[in-house]
Amino acid sequence: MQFFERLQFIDRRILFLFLAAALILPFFFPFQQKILITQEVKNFHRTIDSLPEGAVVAISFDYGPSAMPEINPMARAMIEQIFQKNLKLITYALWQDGEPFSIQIPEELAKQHQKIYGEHYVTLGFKPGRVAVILQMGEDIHTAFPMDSKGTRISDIPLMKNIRNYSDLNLLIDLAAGADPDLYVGYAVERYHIPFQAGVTAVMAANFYPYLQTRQMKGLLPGLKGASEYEFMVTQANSRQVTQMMASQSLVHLIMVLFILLGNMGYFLTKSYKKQTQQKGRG
Amino acid sequence: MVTIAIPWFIVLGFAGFTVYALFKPPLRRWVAISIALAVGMYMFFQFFTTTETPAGEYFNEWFQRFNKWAIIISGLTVILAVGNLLKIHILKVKKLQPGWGYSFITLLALFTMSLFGILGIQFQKEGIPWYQWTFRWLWKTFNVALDSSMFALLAFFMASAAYRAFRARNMEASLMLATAIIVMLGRVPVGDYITSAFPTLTSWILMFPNLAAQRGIMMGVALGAIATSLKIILGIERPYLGGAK
Repeated sequence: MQFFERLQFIDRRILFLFLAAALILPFFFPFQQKILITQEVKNFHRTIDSLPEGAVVAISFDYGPSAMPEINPMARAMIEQIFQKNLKLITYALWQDGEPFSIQIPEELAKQHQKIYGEHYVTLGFKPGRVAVILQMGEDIHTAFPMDSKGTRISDIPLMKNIRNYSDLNLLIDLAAGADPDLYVGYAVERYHIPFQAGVTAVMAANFYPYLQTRQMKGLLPGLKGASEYEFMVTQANSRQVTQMMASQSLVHLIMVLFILLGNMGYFLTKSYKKQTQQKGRG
Repeated sequence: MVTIAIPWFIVLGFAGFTVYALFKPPLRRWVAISIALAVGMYMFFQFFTTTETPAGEYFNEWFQRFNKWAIIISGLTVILAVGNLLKIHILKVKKLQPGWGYSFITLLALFTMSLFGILGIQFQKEGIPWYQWTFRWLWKTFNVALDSSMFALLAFFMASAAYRAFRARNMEASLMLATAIIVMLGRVPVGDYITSAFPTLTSWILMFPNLAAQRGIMMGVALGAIATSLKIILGIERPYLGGAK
């Protein structure tokens, strides 16, 4: 009896130990897993793939270091695809913590793809005001972001000379850890009719599925799973980094399910044991 | 943008100060409520205008002006936030209240990051990049590491809470438990190895029951937001007056 009861109340430190092992071990003993590509990720990839050479894509970096492991792989794969397709890139951040990522990631990948700052890509930096910035970008990007992240007037940057507002952009992408895609759908997609898609953390993903059905979002990258699928599509190979991370996530989910099942087993067996004891007592 | 906005701010600031100095409290409140009403109604109606007519263009011009003001005001709120932070933590350090050490670290971090951040931009233009490097190094070494660690801890607490809370006590709890297990396994490659039904079921759950529930929530939230906005615009609720009636 005590054993069944104990199954419901296993010391949390034991659970933590299992979780830590599941998280760390795949980094030392990596294993390959089959990556199934979901429709929302296929759509995301296809939207960028169908853009003509020279088309302009803007990416908003609205996340901080806490969401970095999930969203940075998406950002890297996305910019990789953009540079491979010879598209132009504009990055900016509505979260102050997203600003360093909006600068570092394009700079690193631009070196690999021999892209020139100001001609092939621009980093506009951070701007407070979220809704006001989204709306103002629809009217005039030059007044929403008068300077880029390096302090240069954007009217002096060749790439930005012919870009005034959303109508000059071919695609808008939001990489978000919060509810920012809601704002983009409400204020940019509905008002200015710009094609839009998003990459979000797993905890937020369920909130944005209604926008996929209404086509207000062309595609969606949900969490690390979405990142791994998308990276697989872009690189056509299992990237070591994301596969390792997915291996950890697989093991952690498995352990959580096993513990939940153990807890429930303990609950039902204790309940039935008590029932039997009561019946015996009455008899 | 700043050059356009500054004269407006001086004019409005002066007007606001005059109103504050000349009028008694009830009238002051009515002036604030009138401004909120006028701006709120304007931002609402401009949504239905088109720039193809001269009147629409005029509407759009002011819409853009309000947007620029909102961006500038959002930037200025940092001053308020930093002022408040300083007030609380300096007092705590000064009086050596319990936990004053944390307050001291907060102040140290605030001044260090601000110093290297502000000077970094200025000196980089003059060809002295090490301030900017230091800022980036501090951000990467401290902010990224601390923020990531805090969020990573959540995984452990969530796992522990899920293990303790997910019990099939009744019909509703059993449904939730089954859905959670299917989605947890369907969202990782290992679920597909167990049975290919897991990813298929997960997609179905996300695209149909989840979507229906989310849409219902979204509509409810939108209706609530409309009601709250109308209350604020019409002056029934006045959070911008510090909750004054």
